[in-house]
Amino acid sequence: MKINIKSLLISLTIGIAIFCSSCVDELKFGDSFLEKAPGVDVTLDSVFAKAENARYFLWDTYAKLYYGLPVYWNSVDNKMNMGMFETLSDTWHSHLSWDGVNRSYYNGTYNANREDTSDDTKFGFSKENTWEAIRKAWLFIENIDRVPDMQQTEKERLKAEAKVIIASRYFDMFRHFGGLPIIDKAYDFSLDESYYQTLRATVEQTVEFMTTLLDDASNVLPWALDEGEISNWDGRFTKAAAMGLKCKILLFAASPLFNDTEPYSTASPQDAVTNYSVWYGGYKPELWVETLKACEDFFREVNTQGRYGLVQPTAATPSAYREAFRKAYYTRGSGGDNPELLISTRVRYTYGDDYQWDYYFPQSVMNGAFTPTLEYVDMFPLSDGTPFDWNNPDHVDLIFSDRDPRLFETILVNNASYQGRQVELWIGGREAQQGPKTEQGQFATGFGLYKFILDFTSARNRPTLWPYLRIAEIHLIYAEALMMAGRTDEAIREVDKVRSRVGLNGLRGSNPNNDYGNQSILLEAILNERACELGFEDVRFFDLIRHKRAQDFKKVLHGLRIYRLDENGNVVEESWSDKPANERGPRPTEFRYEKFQLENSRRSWWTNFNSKWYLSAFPTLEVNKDYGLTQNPGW
Amino acid sequence: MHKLKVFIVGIVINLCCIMTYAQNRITGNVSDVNGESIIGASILEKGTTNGTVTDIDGNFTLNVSEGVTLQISYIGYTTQEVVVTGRPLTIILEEDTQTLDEVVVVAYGAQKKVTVTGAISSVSGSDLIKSPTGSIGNALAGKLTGVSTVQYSGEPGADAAEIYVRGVTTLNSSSPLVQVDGVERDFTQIDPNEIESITILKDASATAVFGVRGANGVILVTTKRGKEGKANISVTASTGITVPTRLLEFADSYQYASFYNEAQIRDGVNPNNVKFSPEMLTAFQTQSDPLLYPNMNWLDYILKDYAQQSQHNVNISGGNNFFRYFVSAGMYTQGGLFKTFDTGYDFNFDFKRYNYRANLDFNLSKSTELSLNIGGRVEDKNTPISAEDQNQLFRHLYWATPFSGAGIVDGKWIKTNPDVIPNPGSDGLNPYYGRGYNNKVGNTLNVDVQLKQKLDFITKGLSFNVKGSYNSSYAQTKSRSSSKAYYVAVKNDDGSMGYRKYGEDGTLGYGESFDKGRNWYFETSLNYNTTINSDHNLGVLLLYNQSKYYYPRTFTDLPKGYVGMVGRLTYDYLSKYMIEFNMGYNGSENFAPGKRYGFFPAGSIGWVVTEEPFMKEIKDYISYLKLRASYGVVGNDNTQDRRFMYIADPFYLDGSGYNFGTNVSGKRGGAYEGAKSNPDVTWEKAYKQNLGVDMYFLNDRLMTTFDIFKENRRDILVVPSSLPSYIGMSLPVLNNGIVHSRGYEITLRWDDKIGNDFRYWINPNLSFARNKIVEQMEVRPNEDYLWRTGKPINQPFGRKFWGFYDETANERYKTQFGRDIADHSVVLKNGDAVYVDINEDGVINDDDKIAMGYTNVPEYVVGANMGFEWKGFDLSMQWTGAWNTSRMLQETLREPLGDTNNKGLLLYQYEDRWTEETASTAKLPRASITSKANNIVDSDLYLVDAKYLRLKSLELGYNFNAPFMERMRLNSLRVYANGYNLLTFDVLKITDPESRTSDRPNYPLTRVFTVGLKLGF
Repeated sequence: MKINIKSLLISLTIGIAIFCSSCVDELKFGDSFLEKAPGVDVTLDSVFAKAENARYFLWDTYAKLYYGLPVYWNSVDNKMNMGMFETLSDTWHSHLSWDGVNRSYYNGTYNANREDTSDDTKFGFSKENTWEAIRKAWLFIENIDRVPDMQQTEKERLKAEAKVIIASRYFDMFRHFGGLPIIDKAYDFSLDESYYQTLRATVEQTVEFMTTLLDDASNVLPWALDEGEISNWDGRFTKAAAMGLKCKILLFAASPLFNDTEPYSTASPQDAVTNYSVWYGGYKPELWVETLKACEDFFREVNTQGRYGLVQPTAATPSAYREAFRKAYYTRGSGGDNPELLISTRVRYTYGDDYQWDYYFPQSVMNGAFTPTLEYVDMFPLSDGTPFDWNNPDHVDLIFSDRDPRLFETILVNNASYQGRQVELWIGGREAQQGPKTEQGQFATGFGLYKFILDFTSARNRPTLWPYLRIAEIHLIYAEALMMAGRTDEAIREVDKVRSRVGLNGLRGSNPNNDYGNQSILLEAILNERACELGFEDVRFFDLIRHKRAQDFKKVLHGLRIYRLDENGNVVEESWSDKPANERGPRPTEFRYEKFQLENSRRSWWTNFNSKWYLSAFPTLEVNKDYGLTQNPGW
Repeated sequence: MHKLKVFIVGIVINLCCIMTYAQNRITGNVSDVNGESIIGASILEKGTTNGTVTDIDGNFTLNVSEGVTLQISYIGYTTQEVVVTGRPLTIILEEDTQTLDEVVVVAYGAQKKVTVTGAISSVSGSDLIKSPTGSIGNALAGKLTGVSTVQYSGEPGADAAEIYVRGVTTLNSSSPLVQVDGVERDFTQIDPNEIESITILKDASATAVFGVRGANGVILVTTKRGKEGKANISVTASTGITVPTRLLEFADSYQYASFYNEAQIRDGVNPNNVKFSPEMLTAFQTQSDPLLYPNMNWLDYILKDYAQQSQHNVNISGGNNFFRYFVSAGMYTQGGLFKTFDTGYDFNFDFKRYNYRANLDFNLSKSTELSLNIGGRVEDKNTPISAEDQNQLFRHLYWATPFSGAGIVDGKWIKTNPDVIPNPGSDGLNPYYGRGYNNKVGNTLNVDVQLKQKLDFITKGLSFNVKGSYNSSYAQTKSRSSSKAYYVAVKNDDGSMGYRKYGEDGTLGYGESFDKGRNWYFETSLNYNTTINSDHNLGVLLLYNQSKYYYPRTFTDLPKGYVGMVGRLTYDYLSKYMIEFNMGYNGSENFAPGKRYGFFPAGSIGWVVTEEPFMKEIKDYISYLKLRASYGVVGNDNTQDRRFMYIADPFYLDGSGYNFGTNVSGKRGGAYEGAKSNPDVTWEKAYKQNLGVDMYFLNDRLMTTFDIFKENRRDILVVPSSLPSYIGMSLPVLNNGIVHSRGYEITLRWDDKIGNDFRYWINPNLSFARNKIVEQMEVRPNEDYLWRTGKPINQPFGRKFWGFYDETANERYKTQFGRDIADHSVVLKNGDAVYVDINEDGVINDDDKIAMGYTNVPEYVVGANMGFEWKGFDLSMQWTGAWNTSRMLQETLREPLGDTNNKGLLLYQYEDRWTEETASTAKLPRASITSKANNIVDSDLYLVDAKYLRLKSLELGYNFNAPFMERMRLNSLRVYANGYNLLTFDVLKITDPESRTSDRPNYPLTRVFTVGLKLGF
C-alpha cells in the first residue's frame, strides 16, 4: 500500500485551511453544527413576572386607543387616507380628491367588499387596532394578578384602566356597526372552528357589556389623578372618564337609530334586524331613563368630588371666551389645568413642522381634506346668541366680526387674524387665491379649518391630543336626556351652561319665538349647540346618524365666494397684505358674498341617500368566516 | 512526455512526407470554437490512408493534391471534411454533442449524458456570450427549456431577470437554488467569459440530493478550467450603446389641460370655473410664455438618447501534466441614461464591474488532484438619490406633469409658479435633480479548495473528495446627498420676468453605510465507480456537507446553518437499462429539534430502446431513443426571512409606549405580544414526477427531447386567514398550503450542412408550466368564481368590461343579457365604463370580478436558436417568445391624472378616451375625476396581454484567416457585432411587455448594440 506522502501533506493542509476558513467557529459536524435557537428573551411569563414590564404592557395597550386626526401612513392612523368621516356630515366637506371620503363615499361606490380591500373606509372592522387593543387588555387583566412585585391596589386600578380601554374600543366600533361579538377573554390559537363560534351580540348585550365594564372600573378607579400625578400621568383613565364615557354610550344607544318603533333599515339582509343586533326591537323609554341616571350620577360626583367642570373664561371678552374654549378642547391636564377634559388620547407629544412625516395632519389640512360648509358657518349665532340670518343686512355686516367666539376657534374666516396679519379668503386673496372659484384646495369653500391647526404656526410645538370626551358634551347629553324626560327647563339650563361659557345668551333669551316645550324644536337647539361646541370632534356625523337625519345627508351643501370690492364697487382679485404698505391703500373692508353649491365633488348621498348608510358594512370575508357575524342591512 | 509527443508527431509527419513526396505540401491549423488548439486531431485524405495528426499548436502539414477532400476528426468533436485549395486551412471543430462520451454536469459531479435519467438541460458559456447583456441570467429564457425569466428592469448593474425553473410552484418564494462550482452563490454578475456551462436541474431525480433546498429547481453554473496544452490567450473587447426599448409617452400641456377641463365639465363643474382658463390653454398651445406656462416632455428632456456599454476580457488557459490553469480578468461597464445638466457632479446611473478568476488544478500525484478556485469581482455602482426612496424614482418621474416646470433655464431650475397654475404637480427634475448620488463599491470573493484522491489502492474506482469554500462580500455605500435651489418665475407688473428663489444649493454631504456577507461551505465525499463483467456499470456517491451563512436578515447575530447527507446510486446495464436512486437528508435549525431532519428520496429509470436488437432495423431513421421516468420528493425551507418559527410565543419589551402627562416629551415604555409561533412548523415538500423521451433522427441530425412533469407541492406555509379578526393576535404560519403544477418541455435541434462551407442549425424549444392553488386556508368568497383557490398563484381578477355608457346602452345591454344595466353605485354618464353583472344581482361590486388573463410570469416560453456558418462568417440568433402572461396596468399607467389629479397623463389615456366624436372607436372611458372610482377599477380594460416575441440576441461575426495573423502569432481573429433585445413584437405597446406595470416601475429595459473584436493567441 503506497500512500503518497505529498498528497497526505496536502490533505492535511487543506484540512487546516478549511478549519481556518471557519475562523472563529469551532469545528462541528452533524446535528451539533446547527445553531441553537435563540432563547426567547421575553414571554408572557416574563412580562408578568415584573411590575415594570406588566405596566409597559398596559401602556402599549393605551397606544391603541382611538385618535381622531389623520397623522401617519399606516392603516390605522391614516384614517380615511388623510380624510376624516366628519366630512360626511353637513358641517364639513372634503376637497381632497384622493381621500377615502371622496373615493368611496362621495361617489357612492362604497360597499362591503371595500371593507376587505381598502384601508380608507370610515372605520374598518378589522383594521383599526380595536381587536388588538381588546386582546391586549384582556391578556393584561388575565395575567396581572401573577405579578409578584405590585400592590394589589395598583393591580386593581390597572385592571380597571384596561376595562375602560376595552369599553372605549367597543364604543368606537359600536357607533359604526351596532351590536358586536362579545369578546370577554384573550383567545388562544386554535384551528378548531367551533372554538371561535361567537354570535354577534344584540345592541342591548353590547351596551350592557360596555357599561358593565365601565361600572366595574368606576368602582375602582380614582375620581381624578392626584394633582401631583397629572404632569407625568395625565391621559390615564379615571372614574370621571369611565362615568362620562358611560353617558356617551348610553345616549348613543338610547337614540332613535337603535331605540325606535322600527328598525333604521328594511333593506336585506335583515338577519341583524331580526336578531336585534342593530336595534332594540322597539322603543324603550327606559333607555333614556338610564341615560339620564348616568348623567345625574356623573354630575353628582362632579358636585361632590370637584376637580372637573367647564373651563370658564377669565374675563367677559371675546378673546377670553375664545381662550377658554380653546383650552377646553386642546389642553392637556384632565382635572388640573383643563378641568373640562375627561378623556384625551395621544399619539405623540408635539410636532414642530407642518411637513412632519409622522404627524402629517397639517398637510391633510393644506390639501383641502376639511373645508367647512356654509351651512355649518350659518349655524353659529351672533356673539350675543341671536341666530345668524342672511336676510338681515345687519347680520351680514357682522358676518365675520361679531359671531359666536366658537366660530372663529373652529373655522378660519375671512379677515380673521392669521400668522400676524389678517387672512385673505376673498377670491384672489393671499390665502384663497382662486381656490373658492375653482373649488379646490384648503379654502375651496371660502373657509378653512381652524380647530386643532389654528393658524398653523401656533399649533406647532404644542402638546397634541384628541379630545375623546369633555364635560361640555356631557352637559349636552344631559340636556338631551332631560328633554326626553320632559324636564325642559333643566335641559335648557344645561345647554345654557355651555353657551354662557362663550358669552352667549341663553336659548330662550336668544330665541324668544321658539317654543322649547316642543321637543323637536329643543332637539334642534341641542344638536345645533353640539355642532357648534363640538365641531370636528367626531360628534356631528354621529348626531345625524343616531337621529336618522336623512334630510341632512341629502342636503346639498354650499360654499361662499367672497369678492373684495374697491371703493367703486369693482371686484379686486388681488392680495392686499403682500403689497408694499405705501401702495396697497387702506385695508379692504368691502366685500360681496356669493353662495355657491358645492360641485367638486358632489356627494352621491345628495341624490341617492338610503338609510343603510347609517351603519357600516362588515367586510364580506369577515362575514364569510361563518363564526356568527351577521351583515348589516343593505350591505 | 512533451518531447516524446512531439517526436512521435514529427516522425509521423516525416513518414507522410516520404510517402507523398510527389504531392503539394499543404499546412493547416485545427482549433475548437473557442480558438483553443486541438492537439492530436487526425487529418486523413478521404478514401486513403494518407494522413497526419496535429502538433501541440494544432498545426499540421500534409502532402496532398489540390482538390482532394480531407477528413479532420478528433474524439468528442464532429468530423469535418474540407476540400484542399492550396491555401493554408483553418479548421474549427465543433464539439460533438451527440457522442456517447459526452458528460453533463449534475449535482455534485458529472454524468455521461447517455445514462442520465433525470430532467436536465444545459447550455454552454460560449452560447450565452452572444447576448451582450450585463447579467447572464437574462439570456437563459428561450435558450434552455424549463426556464422562464422576467426582466423587469434595465438599470445598470441591477438588470438581472427573475428566474423560475418550471414556473411558479409555491405560494412562497419560487426562486431556484443557484450554485456556482457546487457552492451556493449568485451568478448574475459573473463574467460570461468565465462560464463553461449552465445546467438546469428540474425533476426530483436531479434535485433530491439538495434536500430542503432543491424544490424550486437548481441552476448549476460551472466555470472554465485549464486543459493540458500550450497556453491559449484569448482577448475580447467590445463596445456599444444601450437605448431604452420603449419609453412611456405622455400628453403635452395643452392635451393635459384640455383633458382636465373636459373631465371637470363632464363631472358637472361650471365651465367658467374649470381649473385651466382659456388663456392658459392658449399659452400652452402657443408656448408664448414657456416660463409661466411650460410644456415639457420630461423623459425626452432628462434622458440621453443612448448610454455606453463596454465589455473586455482577457483569459489565459493551458497547462501541463502537473498543473492546469484558467485565469481570467474581465471588465464590464454600462452608463446610465440620465443627463446630469450642470450639477457639477455625476449622479447618473453607472455601473462598472471588474471580474477576476483563477481556476487552478494540480496533479499532486497520479492519484491526487488539488483544485483551487479564486474568483471574485469588484462592482462600482452609481445611482442618483431619489425622492421618497430609491425604488420610486421612475414612479415619481411618471407623476410629473408637462406644465409643472420649465426645466433648467439660464442655469436656474424653474418650477411652475402655483399662483399661475394652481396645484401644478411636481416636475420631472424633482425626483432626483440636485439630490446627490449614492456610490456603492462592493467586493465579492469566492474561494474553493478541493482535493480529489483516488483510492484505487483500496479498490479500483474508489475516490475520496474534500472541498472547502469561502465566500465573502463587502460593500461600502457612500451617500452624497445634496439639495438644489429652485426658482419660480414671476411676472412683474411691468411685464418683465423675475424669479423667486426657494431653497439653497447645498454642498454634497457625506454619509456611508456598509453591507457585509460571509458564508462558508464544506463537503466531503466518497465516490465509487466500477464496471462488473464489463456489462454492469455501478456508481455510488456518499457525501456530507455543511454550510454556514453569517448576518442573515433576521436574528442577524445567529448564523444560518445547514447540514446534509447526500447519497446517489447509479446503475446501468450496457448503457441500455438505467436505474438511479438519489437521496438527500438535510437538517435546518429553522425547525424544532425532532423536526429538523428531512429525508428526500428520488428514483428514476431509463431505457435506451435503440440499443435493443429489435430496433436495429429502423436505426437509420431513429438513431437514438431513450425513455426516462422519475419520481421523488424535494424540500423547500425558504421561509423568507422568517426563522425559528417554533420557539415559544414571543413578547417584546421595546414597544412604542404612550405619551402620558402634560409636558413629558418622551413615551412610557411599551411591551407587546409578537406573532404566535407554531411548534410543528416544517418545510415544504414537492412531490415531483417526470417522464421524458430523447429521440434522435436521421443520423443524429435531428435531435428531440420531450419532458412532461407534474408536481404536488404540500405543506406550504400559509397564514390562516379564515380565523375571526376579533381574536386580535398576529397569527402563526401553518404548513397548510398545497399547490399543484404541471407542464412540458420540447427541444428540437436540427444541425446540418449544405455543401462543404455552409453549416446551419435551428434549435427551437418550448416550455410550458402552469400551477393551481389547491389549498391556502382561504375564506369562502361570496361567489364560487371568486375563489382564488383552484386558480394559478397571483391570478389577476377584474370586472368584465361591457362597453361605454350612452343613451342606447341600456337597451343594447338588455338585448344581450335580458336585464337592465346593473347599479354601478355611481350615476353613469355617457362614456363611463359599463361592466357585466356577473352574479346578476343587479349591483356591480367586487363580487362581479372574475379571473382574467395570466400572471406576470409567462406560462409558455418559446425559444428559437438558429444560425449558420459560411466560410469565415457566422450568424447566430436567439429568438425568445412568451405568452399566457398579462400585465395589470397600475397607477400612472392606468389612472389618468393619478390619484391626486395632478400627476401624469399618458398620451394613450388622452387619445383613446371616450368622447362623443370617438364613441365608436374609443378604448378608454371618458375624461372624468369623480367617475374614476367606477372607470379605473381592475377590469379587462387594464389587464393587457403581455405576450411577446423578441429577437433577444443576434451575433454576426467574421473569423479572419489571413497571413498577417501568423506574423502576429494570432491563432484566431474574429470581429463581430451583436445586440440584445433587438426587435420586439408585442401587443402591449405602451410600455415594454416585460417591464413592471405596478406602482413601482423600474428603469426602462434596454436594447444593446455592440461591436467587438476577439483575438486568440
